[in-house]
Amino acid sequence: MLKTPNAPLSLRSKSLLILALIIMPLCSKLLADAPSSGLNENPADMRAIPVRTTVLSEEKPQLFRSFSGTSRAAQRVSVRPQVSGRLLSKMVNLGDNVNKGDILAHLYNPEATPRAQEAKQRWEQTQVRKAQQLRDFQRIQTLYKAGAATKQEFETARTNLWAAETTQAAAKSGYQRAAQIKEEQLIRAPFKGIVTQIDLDEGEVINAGQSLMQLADPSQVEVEVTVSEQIASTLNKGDLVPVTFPLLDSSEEIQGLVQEVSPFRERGALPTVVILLPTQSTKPGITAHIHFTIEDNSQFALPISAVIKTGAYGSAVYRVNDNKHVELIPIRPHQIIANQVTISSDLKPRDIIVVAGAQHLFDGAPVTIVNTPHNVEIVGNNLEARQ
Amino acid sequence: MNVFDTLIRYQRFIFALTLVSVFVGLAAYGTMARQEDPSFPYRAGSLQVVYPGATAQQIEKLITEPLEEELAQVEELAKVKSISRDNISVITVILADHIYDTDTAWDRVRRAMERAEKTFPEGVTDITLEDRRMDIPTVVLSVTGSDDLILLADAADALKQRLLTAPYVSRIEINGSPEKELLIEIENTTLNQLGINRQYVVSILKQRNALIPGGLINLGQRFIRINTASDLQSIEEIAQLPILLPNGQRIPLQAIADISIQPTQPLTAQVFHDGKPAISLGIITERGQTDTVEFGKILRNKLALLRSDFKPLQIEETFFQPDFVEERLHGLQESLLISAALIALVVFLALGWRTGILVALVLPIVALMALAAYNLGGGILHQIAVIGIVISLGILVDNAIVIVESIESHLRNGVKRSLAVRMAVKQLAMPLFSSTGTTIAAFIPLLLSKGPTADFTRGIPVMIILALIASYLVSVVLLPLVAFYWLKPSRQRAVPGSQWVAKHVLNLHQRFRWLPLASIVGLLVISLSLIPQLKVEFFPSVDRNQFLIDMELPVGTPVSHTLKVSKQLEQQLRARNDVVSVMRSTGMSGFRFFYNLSATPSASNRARLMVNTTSPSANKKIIDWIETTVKIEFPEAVLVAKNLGQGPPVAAPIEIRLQHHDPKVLFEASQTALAALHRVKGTREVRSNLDAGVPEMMLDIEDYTAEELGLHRAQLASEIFSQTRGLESGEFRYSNNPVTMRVRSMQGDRTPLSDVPSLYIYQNQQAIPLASMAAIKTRWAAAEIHHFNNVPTVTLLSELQPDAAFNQVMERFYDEIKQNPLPSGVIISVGGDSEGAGNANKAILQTAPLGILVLLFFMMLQFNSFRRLGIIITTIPLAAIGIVPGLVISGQPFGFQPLLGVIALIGIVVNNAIVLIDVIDAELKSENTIEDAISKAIQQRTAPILLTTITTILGLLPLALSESTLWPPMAWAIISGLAMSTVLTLIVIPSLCRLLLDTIPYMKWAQKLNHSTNI
Repeated sequence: MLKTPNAPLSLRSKSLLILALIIMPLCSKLLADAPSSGLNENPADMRAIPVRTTVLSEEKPQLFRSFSGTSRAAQRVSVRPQVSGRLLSKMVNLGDNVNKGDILAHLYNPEATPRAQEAKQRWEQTQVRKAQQLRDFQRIQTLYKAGAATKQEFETARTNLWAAETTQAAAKSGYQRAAQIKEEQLIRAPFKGIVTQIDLDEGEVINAGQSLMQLADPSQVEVEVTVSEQIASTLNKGDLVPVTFPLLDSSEEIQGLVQEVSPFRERGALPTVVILLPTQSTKPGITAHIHFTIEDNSQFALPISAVIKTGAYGSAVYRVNDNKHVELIPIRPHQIIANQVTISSDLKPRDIIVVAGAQHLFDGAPVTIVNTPHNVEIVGNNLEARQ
Repeated sequence: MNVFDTLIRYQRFIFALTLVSVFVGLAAYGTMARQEDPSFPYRAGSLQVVYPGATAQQIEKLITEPLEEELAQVEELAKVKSISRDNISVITVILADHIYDTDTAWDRVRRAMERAEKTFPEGVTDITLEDRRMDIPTVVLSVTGSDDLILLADAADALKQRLLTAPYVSRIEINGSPEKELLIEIENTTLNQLGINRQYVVSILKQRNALIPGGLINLGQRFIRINTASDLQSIEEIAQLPILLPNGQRIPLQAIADISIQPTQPLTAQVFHDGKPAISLGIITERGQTDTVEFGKILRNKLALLRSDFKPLQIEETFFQPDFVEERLHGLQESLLISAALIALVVFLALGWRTGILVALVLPIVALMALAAYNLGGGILHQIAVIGIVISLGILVDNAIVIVESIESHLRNGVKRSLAVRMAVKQLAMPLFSSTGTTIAAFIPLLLSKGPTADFTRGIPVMIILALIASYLVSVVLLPLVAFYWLKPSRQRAVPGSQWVAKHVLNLHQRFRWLPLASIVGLLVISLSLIPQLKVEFFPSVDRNQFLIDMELPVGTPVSHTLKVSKQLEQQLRARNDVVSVMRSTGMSGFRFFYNLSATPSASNRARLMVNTTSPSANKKIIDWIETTVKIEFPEAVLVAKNLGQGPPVAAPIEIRLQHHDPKVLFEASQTALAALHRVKGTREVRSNLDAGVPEMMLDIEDYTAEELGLHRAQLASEIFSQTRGLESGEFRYSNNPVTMRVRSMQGDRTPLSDVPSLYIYQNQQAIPLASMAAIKTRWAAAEIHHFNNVPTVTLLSELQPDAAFNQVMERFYDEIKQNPLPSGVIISVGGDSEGAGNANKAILQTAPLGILVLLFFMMLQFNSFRRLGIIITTIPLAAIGIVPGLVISGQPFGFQPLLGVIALIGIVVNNAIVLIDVIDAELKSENTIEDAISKAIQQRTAPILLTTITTILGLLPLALSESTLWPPMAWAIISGLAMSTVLTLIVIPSLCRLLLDTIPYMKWAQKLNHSTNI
């Protein structure tokens, strides 16, 4: 045990303790510190970032807009009787092929037959009366020539004959009309076609002008679509437009002929376009997509993946320059078509644009282009627009 | 009265107590719950609010910001990270590190949500808080064997019900299960022909599906229930539902629509087990006392029985934690046994068989006692606890060695046995108390510090402190008793070699006085100059034959494309021989099957592949191959392949957050920072989470035209929605689970974009194309808006090159930023390893003063002298002389584990000094000169000091040589530090004592003083 624990330290020991106290924090400081050296000062040493690119095409992108409609027969009719009556019998069934003039149905109008008979009787009566008047006239004519009858008698007989002739003609035409009405009870096909719809069953009563059945001629097919004014205003009768049938297996594209165009909207009625399809191309009742070309001021089409957001709503793309570094170029997007977006910007045709790898990039980043195709479909090489 | 007499009196009790505690320890070891890693408190959670149809910007303003505002009032929250995406807001909240009462904190979060909910717009469908995100599934099973996801999902559901009854199971989560819905698809042209629209069909469905009770009829004695079957009860009924057409006709719904139950589109997530579509079940076991190994056995038995019921579907083990636990604990226990054997061997060799047995006996007794206490306190046997035992093995024999050696030397000097024991106990009880106390004190900061890192490693201080207390008690109470009966004066002359060392040390001291001190300062300088060679890492990665690949495609990529790209990668991986299996989750991060994984909120552009390899060494090869060869093929993806990590979860080692309110400034800042980070050496896979935006079609509806055509905006919107997503038309209640009925177009979300302008709105039997009343514009809008603590944030992430350290990279990054400054007003903050390491070090520093105080308290108690205190503290930096070269030579990085080692070292190193100074003091007390005292002390103490050092080193050697990545750095730090500091202690302490404790210079000085005052 020390006798005097409070004894001051010697100079030597003091300095040693101080040394120790200096070393301790120094050592901990050094432990925490790290060696510093090594920044890649030379940009050429910077690790290049792999990117996939596309080359801007010199062709201006063409934009298409599709509208859909259902194909229908160009010649189609809703068969409506001229007379009202009960449907006595249907001569055809749904889907039957009929020729022009074939009887489709038989109506029964209870008044038609009696009226025709009545008119016939009246016609016969007027014929009898006319024959009587003719005989009277011939007799009086003979008498008049012989001076046995007065001129007044002669003229009366002649007038009577004329009246009888007129009455007979009227009765004849009345009879003919009634017969025609009777004939109208038989409904005939107006053209060669197929029965597409039957609205009534046998025994039901139909009014004149009411639809009895529908008939269509499938050999000529057309499509009517409601379109936007922009399209209607640029379209002319006789133009050809591409048509596809999305629900059919064949994705074949055919050309349709613009038949009718209503060029502008009026009182809530929208512009419509009727397109005649080539014969044998399809049947009625198929969904058809009509593709119309539209114009806008976009310069290039780019894959969507090339565009990045730069502010709240700004957008830009990375362009690869000659020494394999990227520059950020602002763009204005216009329209999206499938996986592509049409844009306008300061870019030039044949510029190389980054389409994949933008998450790693920044303005001035060094890149290596790796356009090795691997089996993931490279988005954007299949522009939906047609050439 | 001597303590020993009391011991003798109570010897039966003491023996009995020892026996009991040994048995309790054995029983504890047999029955203890076993897990691989300790579990963390529930400090992470996530909030989700679904608002269908809203854009990211709307979500940010209407949902995220009000929520964040309310959450800001919850003081328990440390971090609030939000992602606002289309339809959904996901907020990840992290509680502060000091929160252990997590339930109360989550209740406050819940209340904040309720307050925010009141401000939400109508139409918000789903508000959830998941506060159990820290749970890790013990086992992940996959149901495979069919391409029909709905079939698989039904099977997975059935399996879940069967497994829920198994013991230990807490809950089972299902991943990859498709949401189902009843789709009623009607083609546009059909509607066109019939002159109706989808809203009309929806109204008919809703009308027919009303649930109206029929009521009861009282029959006097009982009631009869009347079932009106007013709602739709079968798909057949839906199919036959009559639809009244404008022309008066009625047609069944199935005539115009396709009706089927289908997975909800767009698919949100899908899981693949080895390339096969799967539904995976994550089985989460109860927290706390679950024996994972046992659970594994039970589950396998149960599955063996269940498998046949699910044929032809297969149930596959995707991830089986019990296997890893068994392997890990097995390996560590092996280390433990080897350590114990090595220590025992040394003790035998050094002290002879009699003494050797005595000391070696202390090992199991103390270890079992510590285990018993640990188990009684609810401890779980995980790798941290076992490591705690391994480290303590080397330390806990120290007390015993010192006591027994002392008794032995007394016996050698011819002292009677009872007296020898008595003397040893009397002499050493106090110094051992202090030295044990100082060691415990060194571990106190670790014990008390808070936060995820401390939670993870807490097992070590707990185990060591328990073992030290037990070891002190055993050494002072039990050992003298046994020694009293057992020890005989041995003929052997002390510890072999120690005399030789002592002689040379003494020689050194007598010949040179200043040289030792000077050379030590020199050594210190040399070793500190080696520091630049040290690699620094926060936590090493895990040595499993398993690694992860995170794939992230640009935001806005649909799951279908993510599926395609990730499949390519999977195929390439599976073609390799060293890949055993691959588990792929797309559209989400899959299960957090490892405690360290950060669960990223599910997003359609993400995929995660868990790759099982043939061996841990194959991981590196495959990762290198991905880095060099595979990555180039996927420029569109961010691909991060890495081993599983340790310690608190981080998104990436380098994480830099840039914050500003203006998205444009944020974009510029991220460009500058990204460029800077890319220029910095040591970074890899540098990327930012700033989203590239998504194209947005803006419909500019001309109200006047629309009005003229008899249409409203709402009608237009719902018409477009019915085309793309489908209109909800109530619930169909009679399938397995109620499903939503949805009336939609055939194409759904695959509607070609060029068709949108020509979409027809059916109004009054007229088809009106959209383009005739709306101008359509395109712009790029935000797909994801990230906030960090309520401020819009861009996070830059980077992995590290194999030879790089996060601190170096951060420093270089700051240098770069100084040269190319960010736009003014941008706030930079740091996450990743820097934050984790910073927090962990801060947590320890916060509790360090307490540890130092306790340390000082024990030393003052022992010496009652500032000078001696000074001498002992001086020895602490000496450890550094050993640590740095030790780590550099063994090629181990410096990180949190070596820091742990350093702390342990402080406790051990001072012990040597304490026993040395204790003897010097004793000699000085008996009026010896300082030189005599020093030589006495060196002669007496060299043997026990060398022996305790060697035992500690040998105890750690198996750990140092193990294949684990976590522990060798720590073991090497302790081994090299201790070896060097022991040698140096023998040189420095005597030198310092000579300088500071020599009474002669003092007496001279006092005389002079007296002389001068006399004049």
